[in-house]
Amino acid sequence: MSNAAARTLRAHPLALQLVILAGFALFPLAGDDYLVVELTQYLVYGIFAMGLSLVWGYAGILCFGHAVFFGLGAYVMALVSKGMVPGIGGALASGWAAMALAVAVVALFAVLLGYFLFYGRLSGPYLGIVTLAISVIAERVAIKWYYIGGYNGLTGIPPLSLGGREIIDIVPMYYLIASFAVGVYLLCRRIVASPFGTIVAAVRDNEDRAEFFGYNTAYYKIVIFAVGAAVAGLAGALFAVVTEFVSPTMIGFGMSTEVLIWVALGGKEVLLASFLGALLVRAMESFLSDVLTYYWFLILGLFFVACVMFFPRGVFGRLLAARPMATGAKAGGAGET
Amino acid sequence: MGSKQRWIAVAALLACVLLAFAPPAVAGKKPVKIGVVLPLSGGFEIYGNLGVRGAKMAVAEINAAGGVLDGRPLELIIEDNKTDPKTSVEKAKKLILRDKVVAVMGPVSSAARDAMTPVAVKYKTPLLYGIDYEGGVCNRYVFLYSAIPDHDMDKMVPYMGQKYGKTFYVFGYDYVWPHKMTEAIQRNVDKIGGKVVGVEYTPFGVKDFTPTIQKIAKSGAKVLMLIVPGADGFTFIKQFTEFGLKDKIKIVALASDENYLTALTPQQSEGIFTALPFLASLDKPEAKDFVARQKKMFGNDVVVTWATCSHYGLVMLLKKAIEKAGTDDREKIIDNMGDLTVTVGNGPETMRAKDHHMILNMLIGKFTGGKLVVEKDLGRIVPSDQCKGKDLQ
Amino acid sequence: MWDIGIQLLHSLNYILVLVLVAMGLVIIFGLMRVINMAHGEFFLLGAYTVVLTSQRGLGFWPGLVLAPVIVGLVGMVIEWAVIRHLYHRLLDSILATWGISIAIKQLIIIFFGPAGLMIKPPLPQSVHILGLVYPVYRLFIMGVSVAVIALTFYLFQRTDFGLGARAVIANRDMAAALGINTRRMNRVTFTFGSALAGLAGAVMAPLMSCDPQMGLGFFIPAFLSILVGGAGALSGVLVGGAVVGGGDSLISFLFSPVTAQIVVFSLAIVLIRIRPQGLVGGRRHE
Repeated sequence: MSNAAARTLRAHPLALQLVILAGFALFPLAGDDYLVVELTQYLVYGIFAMGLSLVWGYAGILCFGHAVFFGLGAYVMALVSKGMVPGIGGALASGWAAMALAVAVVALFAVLLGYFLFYGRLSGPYLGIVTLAISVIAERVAIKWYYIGGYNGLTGIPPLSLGGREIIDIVPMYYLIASFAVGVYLLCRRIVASPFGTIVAAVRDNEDRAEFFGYNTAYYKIVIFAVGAAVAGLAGALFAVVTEFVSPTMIGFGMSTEVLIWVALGGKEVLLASFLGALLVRAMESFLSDVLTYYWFLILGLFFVACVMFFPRGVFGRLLAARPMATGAKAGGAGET
Repeated sequence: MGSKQRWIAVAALLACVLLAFAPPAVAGKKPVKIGVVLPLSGGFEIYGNLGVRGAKMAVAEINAAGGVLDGRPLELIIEDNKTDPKTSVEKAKKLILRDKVVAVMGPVSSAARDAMTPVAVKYKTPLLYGIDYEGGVCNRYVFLYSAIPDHDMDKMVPYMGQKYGKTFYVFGYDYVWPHKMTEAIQRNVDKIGGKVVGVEYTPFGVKDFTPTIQKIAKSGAKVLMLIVPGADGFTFIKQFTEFGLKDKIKIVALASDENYLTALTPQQSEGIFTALPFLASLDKPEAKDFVARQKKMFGNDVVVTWATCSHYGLVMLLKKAIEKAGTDDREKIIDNMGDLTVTVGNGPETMRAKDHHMILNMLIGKFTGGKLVVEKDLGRIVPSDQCKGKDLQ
Repeated sequence: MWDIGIQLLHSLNYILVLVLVAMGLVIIFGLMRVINMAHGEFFLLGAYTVVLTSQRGLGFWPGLVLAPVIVGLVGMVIEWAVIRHLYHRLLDSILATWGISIAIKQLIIIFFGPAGLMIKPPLPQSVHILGLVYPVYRLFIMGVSVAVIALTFYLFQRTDFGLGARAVIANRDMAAALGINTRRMNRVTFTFGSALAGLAGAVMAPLMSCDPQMGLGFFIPAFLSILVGGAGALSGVLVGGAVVGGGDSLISFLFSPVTAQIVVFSLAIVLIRIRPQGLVGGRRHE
């Protein structure tokens, strides 16, 4: 992209978003089934990344265990739609109800966890390590619990159906997930652009000051934490539908750190940047790791260090910052001060 | 140069470029592609590399002998699943949808296998699995070149009980395979009138096993069934040896193989038992020949284990099935894959049609003086029907 | 009773090992407020130094001496190249060290391969304690750990450097205003902490599987120990190590290792939530 075009797009964020949207809408026309399947999965990761972006980029809460919500959503989705939860059957066990339930359970869990964490005034590095330990515990519990499949996880998750037809084929599945991605994006944008979102940003930039102004900062942190968790939970439920399996690796430390890389590389302070970060890293990994084999992780690690040091706003962050002033234009929010 | 000549020159150049980019299929026959999804990073890469070497050698030998279906060569497309179920699913889809492989081989962990199974079913592609596991899979699209609890425990437990005493202690990882193994051990201990004096499970990544070692030491057990393969198993054996318990309590380390020789000193591995369908030190012509061929292809330092053999055997089975079917149609290959017999490193081994599991020849091995040697040849072992009460479709 | 006596010895051993591993971490965290996510990989580098000297026929002991030197140098370079640019961006320093950890682990895999490697036990003898056959090497490890603890305390309580360091822990800006060279302090601290991680890795190498994943298993318990005990005071790590290590060891013995891990981690999180300053720590200065 030429500099002039980039400038034009930056001046017109809506145009840029439309270009990206059109790209996704037209993608299946390329006709390569495999690429469509891959992109479907990346879109799910992208939704997951937006969830972390809300929590980390917009609220300044470094969460080293965001996969707990992703995995929890996936497990609830799997268990409910397979009819494995006692007392929940019939219409409630249908795919859509299961998905709604998954999101609700994750949000509730996040509220409880947030209440536990934020009213304890845990912050910064402490929060990071505590959430890391929680993700390790979650993975252990999932491995140990045989009813939910133990180490091998659960398979055979039924597909979603729309208007009496099951969504199994590659292209309908793609459009289903893509519309979820667009919906989540629009919803999250509404949230961060709302007065509520402004207060969250204020809490991030200076928690003490926000408190002096009379805001109950813990409350705002809990709510945004729950929203970010619910988005991750939705991504987890969609992941279970797309791949037809859940396993303990999805809830653990490894997955939590993966999403952290996507969001940091993409640009944590901008939703769309985080989303594209997930797509970029996954795509690069898919196509480069076979060529580079052992060197892939070495390069990823070093690239990540460089990115943290020199581009704290990520690869896409600066380009896509829709409202540079309101979303933390000074190089770094609370995360870095 | 006139304008006419210039056009001719351009046309000639274009033709050359087109020829250069033309698919090589013009030259040779279209290859039959086999997908491989094995861990080449992320923790289980030791087994992944063994499997890849087995498969590569099988393909090289088949191609040298003229390929399949009137001269079509086999081609391996190898993907790294990073020891991760999600990645396994992605890679399996890539191989099936993009590369149009006739079969997918792999992975290693049972979690990844269970995750890949729906992909194999959905796209009607055979999944060829070559790692020992807990048994019980019954699926038209899954073929398992694996030793299951039926293969080893029915003979191993009586052997150890008779020789060293009938009190057993079971210590394993806390996941499905060790739990199923424990059931098989318990069943056989009951059969010989022995006693399991303790069962304990451990999570991944424990660094200090002394509390467990102390419990084992005072349990009065004569035999320890250790179901902790790999790194944590090395840590356990190092610490168990350190406390000087190996003389009093014999260890059967399940799934321990030639890899243990590089990770443990001869003193640390001395006297440990294992049960496997193949050992590199086996004194049979096919075993010696197999090891020699591996060394010739991958160098003298190459480690050859049962995992090498099983993945080699899977390719050989697939080749036979393709020839028998007379086509590279995947459903027809599956129909013809059952009840085929191949000889890899230890006698003829048969893939049963009724449950897609193997009839294998088993060995008891013992680590002795820094080598893994054959202690007893258990011969041909027919496992119980893994599809009992289920439908293979 | 007798069993419990032996178990206490085992617990003490594990606690001292954990404190040894955590010591480098707590120094860096306490002084610099940097969570060094690459600590597990510094441990790994220490262990592989010993593997290397063993493979080259030099044996274990030269490796034990070399490991802290080499890993300390690596730490110094990393501090110079990365960490010093991130002192005012706490969370970014976590992320950067974590990127470094990925790279170091991968370098080890590239050079040594993914498989476990052997180290000959340096002290295979054993002695009788409480009627128990106890390996001499474990006594040696406990000795090393006690020595490291003593040395660290001496350094921080009895030397000029320690006085400056404690001033930095108490109030970094004030310390800088009083003329303490915090820049130099940071470099020395990070180098020293890294060297201790390398030493811990080298000491533990003969007792565990030496493979590229070996750093991970200690990292989280070590961290929880620090947070439980409190990072403000050095004695915090002793208390934290005793709670986390002793708890894990005892519950493993009484119940099972699986229960132990879940219970100890959960308990640690609750403790950290109730007392973010740690069991020992007083008031914190951010």
